[in-house]
Order: sequence, then structure tokens, then C-alpha cells
Amino acid sequence: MIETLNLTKKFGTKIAVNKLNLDVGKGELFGFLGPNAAGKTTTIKLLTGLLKPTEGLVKIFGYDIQKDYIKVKSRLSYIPDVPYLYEKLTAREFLRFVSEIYLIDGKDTEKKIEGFLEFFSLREYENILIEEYSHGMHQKVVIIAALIHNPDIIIVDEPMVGLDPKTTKLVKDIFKNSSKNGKTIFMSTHTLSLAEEICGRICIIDNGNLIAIGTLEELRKKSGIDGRLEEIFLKLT
Amino acid sequence: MKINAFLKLWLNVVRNSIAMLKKQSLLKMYFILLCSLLFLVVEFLICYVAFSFMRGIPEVGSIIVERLMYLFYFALFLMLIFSNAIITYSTVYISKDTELLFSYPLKSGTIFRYKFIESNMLSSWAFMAILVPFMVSFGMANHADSALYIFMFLYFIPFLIIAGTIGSGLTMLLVKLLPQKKLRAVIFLISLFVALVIYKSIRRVRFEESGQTIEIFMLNQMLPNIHMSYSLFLPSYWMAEGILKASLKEFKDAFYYFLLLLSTALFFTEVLINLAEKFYLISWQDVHSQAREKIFCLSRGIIERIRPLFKIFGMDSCGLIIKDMKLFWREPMQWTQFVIFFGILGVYFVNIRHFSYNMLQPFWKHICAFLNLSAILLTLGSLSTRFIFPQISLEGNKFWIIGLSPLGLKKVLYEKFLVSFTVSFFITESLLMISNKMLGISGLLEACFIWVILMMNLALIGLSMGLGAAFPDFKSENPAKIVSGFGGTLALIANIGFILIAVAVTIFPFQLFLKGYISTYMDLKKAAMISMGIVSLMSLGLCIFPLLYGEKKLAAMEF
Repeated sequence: MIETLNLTKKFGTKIAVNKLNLDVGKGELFGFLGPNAAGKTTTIKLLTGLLKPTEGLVKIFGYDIQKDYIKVKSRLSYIPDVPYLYEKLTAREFLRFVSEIYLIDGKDTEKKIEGFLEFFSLREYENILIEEYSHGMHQKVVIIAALIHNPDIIIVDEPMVGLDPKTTKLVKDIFKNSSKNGKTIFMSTHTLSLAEEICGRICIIDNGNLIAIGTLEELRKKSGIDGRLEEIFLKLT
Repeated sequence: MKINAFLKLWLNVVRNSIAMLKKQSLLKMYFILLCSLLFLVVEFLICYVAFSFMRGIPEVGSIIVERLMYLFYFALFLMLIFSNAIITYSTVYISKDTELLFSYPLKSGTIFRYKFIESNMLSSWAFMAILVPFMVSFGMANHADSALYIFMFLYFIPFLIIAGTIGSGLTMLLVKLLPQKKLRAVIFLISLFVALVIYKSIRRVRFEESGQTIEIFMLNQMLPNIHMSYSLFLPSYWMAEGILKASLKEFKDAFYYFLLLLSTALFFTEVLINLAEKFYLISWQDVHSQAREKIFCLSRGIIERIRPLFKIFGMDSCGLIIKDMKLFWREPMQWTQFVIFFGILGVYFVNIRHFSYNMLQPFWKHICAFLNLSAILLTLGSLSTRFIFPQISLEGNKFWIIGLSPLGLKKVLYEKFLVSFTVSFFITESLLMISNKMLGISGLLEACFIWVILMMNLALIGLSMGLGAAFPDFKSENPAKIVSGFGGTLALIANIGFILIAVAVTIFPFQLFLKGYISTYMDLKKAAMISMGIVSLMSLGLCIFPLLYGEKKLAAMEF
């Protein structure tokens, strides 16, 4: 579903991502880890077509994201680490806008929006401008916007920042269920316990280079540490 | 359907913004409406008197009006292109919602269309506000048919679109073709080139060679004869020519110019959208890649070298000053506006002798000197609204750093005021000195002008800074958007209104003297001192009270 071939991104002389080769399959919940400035957000922006690779290729559903971006993006969702929302819209108005962008049928839209707002406990705030929302509520709206068109791939950058424990549990369950239903989740996070709990495979990068990739067991073998992901991560980076 | 989605998005944003406005104080709403109306009425009256006066000049009256129309629309066209180019960069390239939109399955042309409309509207609204009273006064002074106003309205839209497409297209090409690091140098070179082309197109012909009547020849000597403004290929020429034809009830010709403007606007829009389909995403990606590149390429520059100079203000203030200078310098799209507008004034002042203005009779020389003073002050007024007003708002989310520091917000406000005042005072006073020197003005008038510039800098910078602190918009990171709010509009109106009053008060004793109502030099000196006293009192009031108000509001603000 997601394939990178020698993916490289340079900012001037600085190499942010260096010849990265990944292959993430259908239904995988893939954890993407690395220390600060390792190149995680740059990789994610390359996967979503927001940045252009200096070298290499990103293929999603077999399409080159740079060339066939409309085909890819209509089946993909991106939840950024610092999301932008139109502050002068209400949650319902914003979600309607997103539905129209994804050409979702008008009759289903309202039902879907209401369902999601209810699920994320935003119903009582739906007619308040987004500028009045807390960080967590912002994040909830972004997550709903990412789910509303039922994407086949969800690319997430730090999904749990600012969420309360109840919503964190909800989001984890959504990711797990989506994965079971054949959706692919590509998740970058610093919350190692989260990655350890829900990710099938984990990739660790540092300074733009791939350090390790595999299941938790495979990472344990590679690092020689039979412990938690945190210890493995610290050893490898 | 996607265009519908954008239309609905825009309508929702406007509706919600109006609903938010309604929740604010009614008094505030009515006050700003009243001020805006007053401003438009005053502008209309001044233009009406000026047009009526010019029409009444025998032999050359209609030629002066005609010449002014060509020059006015030529200057407006250039300013619109420039304004669109600057605002396109912030709205189309670095605005945060573009990242959100590019993550959706939208064609880059669709995103560009929406952002272009936003950018074009942000760039043009202030010009439109100034243009309407100007044109209505032209129509009324010429006793024109009501059809003229319909034509003017018809002309505005394609004219604004043409300027917008050229400005946005230029930005897109510059961003696509040039690396960000060289952008500053390139913008500077382009500005220099434009100034040079305008300068070169100013023609000076000897009377014997001109083949003109003496009246026309003298008129050419007095009004800058920018040949380029008469080019048949310029939309500003079509606009001026169309309006002049409509005022003469030659509606067939007027309609022809409308069609010319409309077809050009449609053609340019089509070309721009095609360019956007091809280049927008790539150039957007480049901007977002190069912005990071710069972070890795920073080196110790001139600002760091002059740091010791500011240490006399204390380490904390020095840190703030250096930070503000660096942020300003690293936004070339912002500071080039200063360079271009004051640069054009500089080029014109240096060439005053070229136009033989220094040879004019004292009455006209004084008029010329006062017009130059007004030009400097109006440029300062609009630039202070554009740059000084948003300074506190632009601190926005960064307030957690300075807001929690022992420095205090009061010190931040006054540091910004002092730095802005020092820079603007140095530039405007230098320009005034050049104008005075070239016109050969000295003595009492020169002393008055120097004092007025000092006072007006205090007033305009204080007013913009104070209102900027009182009505901040911490959510927006786009200065153009910050300025277009309630506080920015109030600051612009107050600035321009005060400039008109201050210039009128300054000119009053000198006009009385030239018309013989004041007979001795000593009496003129006394009258001038009284008028300077009035200007000083008003200026200090407009500096101190808004700053104190802003300080109070800032202290009471919850972040």
C-alpha cells in the first residue's frame, strides 16, 4: 500500500531523509519512531505529497504520489502534528467542507458528521467557532475530518498529543479496528508505549537513516535487549 | 462541487466573522462606521474641490485633469501589481491553510483559484476604498452622466483582476525560478530596474523642439511627464481613457475600453490558472523546502555585529531590538515595500530640479513643497498602518516567552515604538531634507517642516502601535489580514485623517502670508509658531493616549 524507493530529501546540504526504503502492507498498523529531527515529519510530508523528494519515489496504491496525487489523496488521510483548522468555522461547518472536498453524498454527510461528533463528545460544541476550542478538541475535529471519507490509508503524525485519556482510548480502538478491517495506519509517535501496544511493525530512523525495522520481537533480536521498546529505542538511537 | 465547497467556506467565514462583530460593542461599530464615512466624505470633498479648481483653469484645465488621470491610474496599476505580488506570497505560499488544502484530493489549480481570489481581495480593498470617492468627485466635478458611474464600476473589476493576475504571476515565477536565498537581492534589483525605467521614461524636451503651445509646454514642465503612462498597451491607459470617454458621453468608445479590459482580464486569468496548474504545487513545495534550508545556512550577519550599540538600553531591551530587527530583515517581502515606496519618493525628490520645480514662483513652490510633505506623510501613514500596527499581534503565540519574562509587556510595547520611530524618523527626515534642498526652500518653512516630520512620526507611529496593542489579532500570522480588521482600519483612517489636518494647519499661515493677509515676516513667524504649537499638541496627544490605551489593554489582556 505504501512503498518508498530510495526516498531522499535534502534541504540544501542537510540530508533530512536518506535513501529510505519502506514497504507497508494492507491492514498494517505501522509505527514510525525516531528522536527529534530524525526526519519523521519530513518523511510523512513526502508520503503525503506535501514535499517533493530530492531523489527516489513514493508509491501509494501503486501510484506515484507526485504524479497521481488526486487518485492517491482521495483514498488517504493525513493527521498532522500541528493541524490547521479554519478558526472562523464551527466544527460542523468544517466537517461539511471536508465532506464536499471528498465528494461525499449530501444525504449521508449530515448523518456521518453527527455520528462522529457524538462519538467524540463534541455534539454540544458543534455550533461554536473552532477558535474557541481547546487543543484536544482541535485534535478531535482533525481526527474526524480524517475519518469522514473512510480512507484506506491514514498517515498520522503524533496522534495523541493533547487528547484526554478517554479520547486516547477511543483513537487507539479506532486505529486497531481500522487495521483489522484492512486499513493501513502509518503512525509517527514519540509515545513508545503506544507504539509498543498497538503497532504490528515498527521502524526507527535517526538522522534520516533507517536504523531498524520489524516486529517488536525482531527489534529485540537486533538490539540484543529483551526488554521494553523504550530500552530498545534508546540503545539503537 | 469543489468550487461550491470553497464558496460555502468563504460565506461561512464571512457570516461567522460578522456574527462575532455583532457581539462586540455597538458603540465601537458605529464609531468605526462613522469614521470611515467621514474619511470618505473628506476625501470626496478634497478631490471635488481639486477637480473643480483644475477644470476652471483656462486653456490647460482639461489637459491637466486628463494628464492626472493617466498618471493616477498608472501609479495605481503599479501599486496594485506590487501589493498583489507581496500578498500572494503570504496568502498563496506561506499561509497555513495551504498545507491542509494540499493534503486533500484537490487540483493545484483549484486551490490556487480560491487563494488567488482571497489574495486579490486582500490586496485591493484599501485601494478601492480610496478610488470610489476619487472617481465620484471626478464625475460630479465634470457634471457627468450617471452612466459614467456604471462604467467606472464595470472597469474596476477587470482592472483589479488584471493587476492581480500580473502580481500573482510574477510572484509565482519568482518563487519557481529563484532560490529563496537570492530572493532579497533579486527583489532589490527588480525595484531598482522599475525605478530606472520610470526615470528614463520621464522626458525633458526643449520648447523649440517640442512643437507645442507655450501652455502645454509649461504644463509638461510642471507635471511629471511619464511617457509610459500613455502606452496604448497598458490597462491603466484603457481605464483612464474609458473613463474620460464616458465623462464626454462617448459611450461607444467607453464600452470598447471596457471590452478591452474584460477580455484581457479573462485571458490573463486563464493564463495564470494554467501556469498554476503546472507550477503552483512545485513552487509551493520549493518554498516549504527552502524555508528549512535557510535555517541550516544562518551565519553571523550585520545585525549581530551592531548588537553592542544597543547594549546601552540594557541587556533585555537589546535582545528584543535585535530579535525584531532580525525578524524584519528575514522577511524580504515585507521590507521591500519600505524600499520601493520611499525609494520612488527619493527618486522623485532627487529629480525635482530636472522638472524645474525650483524655478517656480514662490506660491507654486510652496504648493509643491507642501505636496511633497504630504506625500512623505501619506506614505509614512499607510506604511505605519501596514507594518507598525501588526507588530504586537505578530508576537501572537510567542507571548509566552516575553509575557512571562521579567521584561514586562509595557517595555515590549515601548521598545517597539522607539525602534520604529527611530527608523521612520531617519528615513522621512532624510527625504524631506532632499526635497527642501532641491526646491531651494530654507529658513522658516524648512524649520517648520523638520518639526512637523518629527511630530508626525511620533503621532503616526504612536497611534499605530497603541491601536495595534489595543486591538491585537493573535490568531493571524498574516500582517495583511491583521491590518484588515477593526483596529487596522481605525488606525488607517485616523492616520490619514490626522495627516490631512496637520498639513492644513501647517500650510495655513504660509498661505495667509502669500495671499497678503499676513504682511510682515515677524507676524508670519508668530503665526507659524502657533500652528506648530497646535500640530505638536495634537501629535503628542495622538502619540501618548493611544500608547497608554494600548498599554492598559495589553496589561488587562488574558492570553
